[in-house]
This record gives sequence, structure tokens and C-alpha cells, in this order.
Amino acid sequence: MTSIRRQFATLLAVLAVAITPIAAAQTLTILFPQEPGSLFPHFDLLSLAHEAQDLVFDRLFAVDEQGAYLPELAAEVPTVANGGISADGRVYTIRLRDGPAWHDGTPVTAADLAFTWRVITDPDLPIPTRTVWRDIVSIETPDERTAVITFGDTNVSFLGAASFAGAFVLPSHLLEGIDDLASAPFHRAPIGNGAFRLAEWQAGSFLRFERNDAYWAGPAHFDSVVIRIVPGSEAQRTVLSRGEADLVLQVALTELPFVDGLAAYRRASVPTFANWQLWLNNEDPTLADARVRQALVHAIDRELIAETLLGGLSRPDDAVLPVSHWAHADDVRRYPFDAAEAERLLDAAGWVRPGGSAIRERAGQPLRIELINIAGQADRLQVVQAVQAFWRAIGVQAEIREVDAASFVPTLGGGDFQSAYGFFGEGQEPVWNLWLGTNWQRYGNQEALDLLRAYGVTVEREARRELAVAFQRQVAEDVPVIILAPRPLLAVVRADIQGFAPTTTSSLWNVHAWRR
Amino acid sequence: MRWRVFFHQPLGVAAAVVLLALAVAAFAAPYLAPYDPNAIDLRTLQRPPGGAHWLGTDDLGRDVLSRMLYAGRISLLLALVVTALATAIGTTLGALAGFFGRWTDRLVSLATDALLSLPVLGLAMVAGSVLRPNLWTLAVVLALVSWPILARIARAQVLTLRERTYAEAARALGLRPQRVLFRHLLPNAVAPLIVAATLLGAQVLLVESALSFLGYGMRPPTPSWGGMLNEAQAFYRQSPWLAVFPGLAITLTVSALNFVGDALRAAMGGRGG
Amino acid sequence: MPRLALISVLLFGVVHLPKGGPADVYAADPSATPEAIERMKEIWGLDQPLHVQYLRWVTRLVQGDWGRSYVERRPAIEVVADRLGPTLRLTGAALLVGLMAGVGLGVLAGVSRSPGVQHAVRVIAVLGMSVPTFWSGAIVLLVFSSYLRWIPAGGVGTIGGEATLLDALWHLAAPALVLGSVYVAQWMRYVQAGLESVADDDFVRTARAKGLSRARALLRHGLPNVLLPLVTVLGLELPRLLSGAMVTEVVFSWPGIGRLLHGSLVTRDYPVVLGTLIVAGVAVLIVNLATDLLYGVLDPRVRYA
Repeated sequence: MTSIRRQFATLLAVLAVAITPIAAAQTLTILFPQEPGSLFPHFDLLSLAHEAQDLVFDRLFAVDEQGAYLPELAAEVPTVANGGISADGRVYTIRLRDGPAWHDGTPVTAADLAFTWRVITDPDLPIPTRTVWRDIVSIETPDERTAVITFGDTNVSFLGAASFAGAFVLPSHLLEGIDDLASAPFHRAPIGNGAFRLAEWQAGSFLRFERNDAYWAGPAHFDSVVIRIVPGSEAQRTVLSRGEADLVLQVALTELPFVDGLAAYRRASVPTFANWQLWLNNEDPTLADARVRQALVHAIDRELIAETLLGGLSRPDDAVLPVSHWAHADDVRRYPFDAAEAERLLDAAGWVRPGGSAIRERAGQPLRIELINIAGQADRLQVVQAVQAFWRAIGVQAEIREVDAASFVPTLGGGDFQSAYGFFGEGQEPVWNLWLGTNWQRYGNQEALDLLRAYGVTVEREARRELAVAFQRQVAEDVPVIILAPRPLLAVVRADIQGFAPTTTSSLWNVHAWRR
Repeated sequence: MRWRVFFHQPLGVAAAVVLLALAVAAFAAPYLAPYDPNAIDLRTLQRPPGGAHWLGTDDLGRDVLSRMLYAGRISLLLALVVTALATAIGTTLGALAGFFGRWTDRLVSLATDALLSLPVLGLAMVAGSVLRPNLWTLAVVLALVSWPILARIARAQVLTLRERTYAEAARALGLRPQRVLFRHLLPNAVAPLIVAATLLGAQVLLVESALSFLGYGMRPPTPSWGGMLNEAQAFYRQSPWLAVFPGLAITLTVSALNFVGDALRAAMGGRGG
Repeated sequence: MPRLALISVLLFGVVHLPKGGPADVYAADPSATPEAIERMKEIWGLDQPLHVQYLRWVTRLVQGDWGRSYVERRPAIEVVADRLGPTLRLTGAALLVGLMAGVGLGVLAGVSRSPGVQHAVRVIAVLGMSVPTFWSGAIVLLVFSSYLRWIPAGGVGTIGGEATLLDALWHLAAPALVLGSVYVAQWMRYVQAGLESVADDDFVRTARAKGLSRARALLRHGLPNVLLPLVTVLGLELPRLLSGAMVTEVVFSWPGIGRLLHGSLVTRDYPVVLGTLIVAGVAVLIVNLATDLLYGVLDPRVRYA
């Protein structure tokens, strides 16, 4: 019996040693609910992929918490004043810093920038977004550190595009000769110029990065970063309650009470320019009538939804650009919660309740609106069901149809929908893709859209702002989409981490400066 | 079917009673439910059980008890429909395969093998993303995936029974094959099929909840026990009752169906396996 | 051969049924432009009619090329192979757990004369399979990992730690138990019923006459008889095990092919979806063949049939 007891004790001791986490090195652990597929910039639009790439790559510019541009790979921010931008907005001159180098020691040069442009605009590569870059006519590199970018026409959005979440510079010396970049090993084994380099990638489990000691802004304080993939919601809470993560990005609002109860963590609001909104198909016979759309807005108690379902973290608004955006319009037409007004509008539009029935009718047709939602997220479902209840109260039968992410856009793009819920946001420099490009809502007010077209060629910022404001005012009148409230984006960070300063483009842009 | 044996199985009897009670409560939902199951009240979110709401409220302020009753209706109806459909399809195809053999058998066996070797959830997910998931499409999809098991049993039964003397006699008397099959063989094959059907019903409930977890369950706001359990995931710690009630309902029903199946098997004289 | 062809057509068709493809996943992002998305579809050959896409896929498949993952940009075979190991470990361990507990409980119930024990065993076994695994898994995590800190918070191993066998087993324990509990009831039933059916056999009677206790007699002569049907059922259970693994893998952050299948369906990563389904089908085939062989070896009667 004694020998068994001894064996048992040994087993316990071994177990204890095996389960003690290696605490010697300073490791930053980040929790991802989803695994990025590729670390090759520009091929993916997943925001988590951009964050992971941010560890390994740098952009020309970053955006700080106030929304001002910060030079990263570039030496300074080009403006009309310092000659970096030509007066007509067609030529941008970028001067690169001296320090930045790729992980193999080769310095970052203007040729890399030119190469990146060629990759983005390569018609044979499956790149999901080429906005702004495709308007560039040429990139000259008079010397190793200077790039002269010439656009075909006035361009006011380049700084925004160059500081965009995924706008990283690629190593031309490593990728130039490669045949098919879309399937290169670089996707899973990138060589970057950032504060960390990829050390290990265990598919489905984690990615491990090690400090780049030669980083131009100085070596990071953390020795390594681990991105841990944890898809299940309870597993995420378990990891947090055990203190095994330092940072969690994109935390669902439903987790707020749990997060606030964790002593070792604090919540952090991540700035974003996105609004939660309801797209309405303006060409749908039911929704073509502005009075119906206005009724639908008035019927929703957006204050209550914002307070109870959006964590009280934002106030409802009717402007396309949220209050945090520099071109936000303060004085647009408002639609306060007014069920009586909604009923009146529907009556005026011919949708009546025959014999006091619950659902309104017109010419024998019931007032039915299908509401499309992306499946799988508790907080979206909550809001959508709340909207359904509000609409029901004024006699509108809303039917929720849940689709998965891949079918969402084909459904909207094909026009086979009436209303849909989701979020949308313009960047620091709006390109108005939703209005001039996809236009899922099929907004037909050409005068309003002309304002946006004029926006695209107006160099002077204040003049642009006025155009944007005029547009927002018109949209608030026409209500082609129903804006619920700015989308609050949350992160959870361990209280002892200093330096976490998320911006609208990235949360990890300054990770090299973080310390415990 | 030896009823006396059935009623001597305490677990089976208790389970049958529980099932009956659940079924009655669920189907009488419109009369029993104190509130409208879809009535949202953003001012009474996540109230614990007690007071005006016996089982509390959920994350949209809806009464849990009312939702549980209506959800039971949906979940139990789904189990019933799927079981009925799968049994009908499976028994027919399996019996035909076992009786006529050769090409019929090859064809049916091909289909059964193919369907049995694919993961149920995977197929159901794909189907769920194509069709609009309401009760009936979900039922059809699940039935299509579940009939092979019953077909196999039916086929095996028919194969063994085919050689029995009374079948020979019936054929010697010149009865048509279909008559032999359906009037004389099948009634004797019924025992293991009924048992399998009860177990299938139990499976349906579990698969429905797994589908909801993966995002392919019933369309909101239609409540189902699996859907309610899935929606409660975000609130396991804040409002555990939101998961406990639908979870218990599923567990109870599935267990009960299993015990009833066991008791039926004992009563019909079948052997295990 | 034709059977395989039919299955491949069905698989391909079914996988491509849902609306939207790998390019459309990007389309929901505010920065995506319709032209870029269209161009992606062209490059990836997704704008071709379905039968053309099928032919291309199947001709490559027979040459051993499963295509490239649209998400991970590397061969689908690699993507699946990377995650096959963890699922095999998980399902293997779950089967083991289910078998051991099932046989154990079945023996207990089959040998015991007391109806109380028999009922208790049956209740335990059935309860194990009546709880939806995503719920029981979450509760296990909550209680045993969050509060008691007895088990890790998921994953296959301690990140940054040593890849020891002990560490791996420690991470495997909870998911294997949760997944295996679903099968305990089944095995238990088979074993118990099997033992009861041989209780009156001559072998057993002779053994008892020779002085062995009822329990010993049943076990020595009944058990081998009972284990045979278990072997055949193993093959039937595998697809269900894989389905169950899908849920368990998500709950416990297990990097297996169940989670891969789920994720790749969401992103419409067709080569990976098809690859996973093929692997699953082949695995079932292999296991069925193996169990048939095993049955032939174990059961002398079959050999003479």
C-alpha cells in the first residue's frame, strides 16, 4: 500500500509541475473568438486578421485615439501645407523613415510601397477591396525613401486608405518573383516589419509571436504575444475568470455584466464610426412610400433599446456619420419615439386596420415586412426581436429571417429583401461605398448622391465637411435607412496592462509600447 | 405486446406519465400560459424566478414559463413529426428491400449506407442554410437524415421473418407478395421499430438543440427548447435559470422517452441491441 | 465505383446549395466593393456553371488534389490533416470512456439481482445521454475549470508549456468525458441485455454447477458473448460521434475537424468542407471494415457461415 501511496504522490507532484504555466517570460495573451485564415495583408477583410497582421506589419500611417494621423513607416504626415499633397489633391509625396526594416534585416524602401500598390491592383489576384488604390496612376520612386503617388483625379481619401486597418506594406524583395501570391506560403509564414514576428502557428489553437528586437520604434516590452483561439462563449468566460488572457477584442455587449464583475479586468470602449442600422429596400412597393419608412422609425423606442440592449453606451442618432466622426451633422431631422405619430403616418399611407385587427392592411394585403438578420449572435437577435415587437405594436407584421454571413450580401445585393439589420460605417475618410457603390437600400435621390460625388473631388476639408453635412440632412429627411445608434465596440483588458489605446482602425497599433 | 409486463416496469411507467404530463401542458399552452410568449418588455430584463413571473424573464423581458410551454409545443411536435415521417419512410423502404431483395435491396442499402456515413449535423446544417428553417422544413430534413436507421431495422426484421413458416404458408396459398409483406410480416416486425422510434424521438430533441447551438435552428421568435437553451448561453452566469429550465425539459423528455422505450422492449419480448 | 461517383455528386451538390460562396463572406464588410468581389469569383472559378465546377473538382480529386482552402490559402488536405489528430484523440478517448463506463455499468446491472441497482444504473446511464452536450460541456467548464480550477479552460495543451503526455491527457479528460457520456447508456444496455440473455445458457449453468458464483459464471462465459455485438455497433456509432464532436470541439476550443467543418461551412470554404466530409466518410468505411474483420475473427460461428 505504501508504494501505491508514494506513486500517487509522485503523480500529483508531476501533475502540479505540468500544469504550472510558464510565467518566466512576459507574454501578452490575446483571446480571439475566431481564427484568422491568413496573415498575408490585403487578401482578407476579417478585422481579427488585420489585428493579427498588425503585430507583424506596419502601415504608412496610424490613427490615434483623437483621430489624428500619426506617421508610422512614413516620416511625416503629408499635407497641402508641407507640400506632401499637391494643391489639386492629385499628387501625394510620401517620405519614409530611416529605421524600419524587414525581419530579415532588409530596410523598408519606397519600392515596397510601389509593390504593395501593384499587388492590391493586380487584376489576377483575389483582393476584396481596391478602393482608392485603383485610382492611382503611378508611383515613382526617385530615391529609396521617397514615393511620389499620382492619382488620375483629385483624391481626398488616400491618407484614410493608407491608415486603414489592413493597409500594410509588403516586402517586395521577398514576394516580387513569386508566381501565384494567392497561394504562397507567405500566408501562413509571413515576414513583416513590425514589432513582432510569427514564431508558431498551431492551426485551430493559437498563434505565437516573438519580439522583433530590431524594431524601429524600439523593442517591445513584452517578449512574446500569444493569440489564443477560443470560439465557445463559456470557454471565453472561463479563460477570463482564470485570468489566462490579457486582452479580449470584440466582446459581445451581453457579456458586460460578467466583465464588470471581474476584478482583474476593465472594459474599454473601442472607437468606431459604425452605426447599427436597418437597411430598407427603397424600391420595395411597401417601403417606397416615405411615410411608411418614417412611421417605422417613429415606432421604435431607440432610446430604450440603446439603454437596455446596447449597454447604454451610445445615444440614438439620425445622422449617417456618428457623433465621433469629424464630419458628423449635428442638426438633422430627428425621429423621437412616437407610436401615435407612426400610426397616423401609416393611416395616411393607406395602411389601415380593418375591423380593429392587429395587422394593418391595404387593398387586402397585410402589412408584412421581412427583416433579415445574420444568425449566430445573441446581441443582434435581441435588437431584431425588439424591433419586431415595436413594429407589431403599430400593426406591422415583421418576419425575421436569419441567414448566415455568406448569404447576407448576396441577399441584399440581389434586391430580394425588404429590410435587414446590421452595422455599417465609413472610415476616417469616407468613400461612401454604401451610397455610391453597393447601394443596397436603392436610394434614388440623385441630388443627395451628387453631394457625395462632389465630396470626392473637394480638397479643402471644411468644404468637404459641409457637403457631408448637407448629405446627412437630406438622408435624415428621406429615411432610406433607419439608424439605430452608433455601434459600441468593446474590448476587455487586464487592469495591469498599460498602453492599450484602441483607435478606429486598430487596437494593436501601439502594442510595442504596452507594458504590464 | 404484453401490457402487464409494461406496467411492471416502474421506470417506464413513471416516464410515460411524465411524458403525458409534458405533452398535455405543452399542447394546452394557449390556455396555460400566463403571458404572450413573444411579449417583449425591455424594462423587466432577466428577472429571476418568482413573483409575477414564476420562472423569471429572459434577456428581452419575455416570460419564461409561457415560452417554455409554447416551446414545448414546437419541440414535441417536431419530435413527433420527424419520428412519424422517418418511421413511415424507413419502414417502407427497409421492408421492401428485405422482402424483394436484389436490386431493391441494393438501391436502398446504397442510400442507407451513404446517409448513415455522413454526419447528421453537417447535413442538417447545410439543409438549414438553404431552406427557411421553420418547423416543417426542419422536420423534413431531420426525417430524411433519420430514416436509414429504421430502414435497417425493418430490413433485418423482414429478412429473418421472411423464412418463417407462416410466410411460406402464405406464399404457398398464392397470396400476392405485397399482401404477404404488409399483412403478415410487418405486424410481427413492429416491436423493434416502435422501440427505435421512441429513441429517435429522443434523438430529434437533442439534434434540434445542437442545430440551434450551431446557428441553424428554429427561426425567431418561435421558441423551442433547444433554441431557448442556445439563447441562454450568453447568460449562464448572469441568469442561470434561462438555461436550467429548457435544459431540464429536454433532459427530462429525452430520458423519459428512453425509459419508455426500454419498457416497451421488455414488454414486447425483444432482446437488447 | 459508381457508388463513389454518386456520392461525390451528391456531396458536391449539397455543399454548394446554400446561397453565397467564399467571396460573399467578404462582401458584408463596408470596404468591399462589388467589382472586387465579382473579380474574386472569376479568379476562383466560382462564376462557372455548377457542373463545370464539379468536373474540375472531381478530376483534381482523383489525382489527389483536394483543392486549396479559400480561407487558409493552402492545400485543403493540409488543413484537414492538421486537425484530424485532435479529433481522433477526442473520439477515441470518448469511445473508450463510453465503453468502459458502459460495460462497467452494464456488468453491474446484468450481474446484480437487485432491481434497485439495475434501476439506478439505468437512470445514470440514460441521464448521461439526455443532456445536450453543449450545455453539459459548458457546465463542466463553469464548475470544474472556472470555480474548482481542476481542469484547464479548453484547448489541447498548455500554450507555451511542455508538450507532455500528462498535459495532453489533462486537457483531453473533460471533453472526452462529456462526449463519451452520450454513449454510456447504449453500451450499458447492450451489455446488460446480453448478459441477461445468456444467464440461462448451458455454459453458465455448468459453471454454476461447478461452484462458481453467479457473477463469475456470467462474466466468464457471458461477457465474451456480449462483447461481439458491441464491436459491430462501433462502426455505426462513428458518424454520430463525429457530429457530437462538432459541438464538443466548439465548447472546449478543441482544434479538430468537427469545428473545422462547422467553420468552413460558415465561410463556404468548399474544398475544406468536401475534404472533411470525405475524411469522415472514409473513416466510417475503414472502421466498418475493421469491425467486420474483427467480428469474423472473434466469432467462430461466422467463419463457418
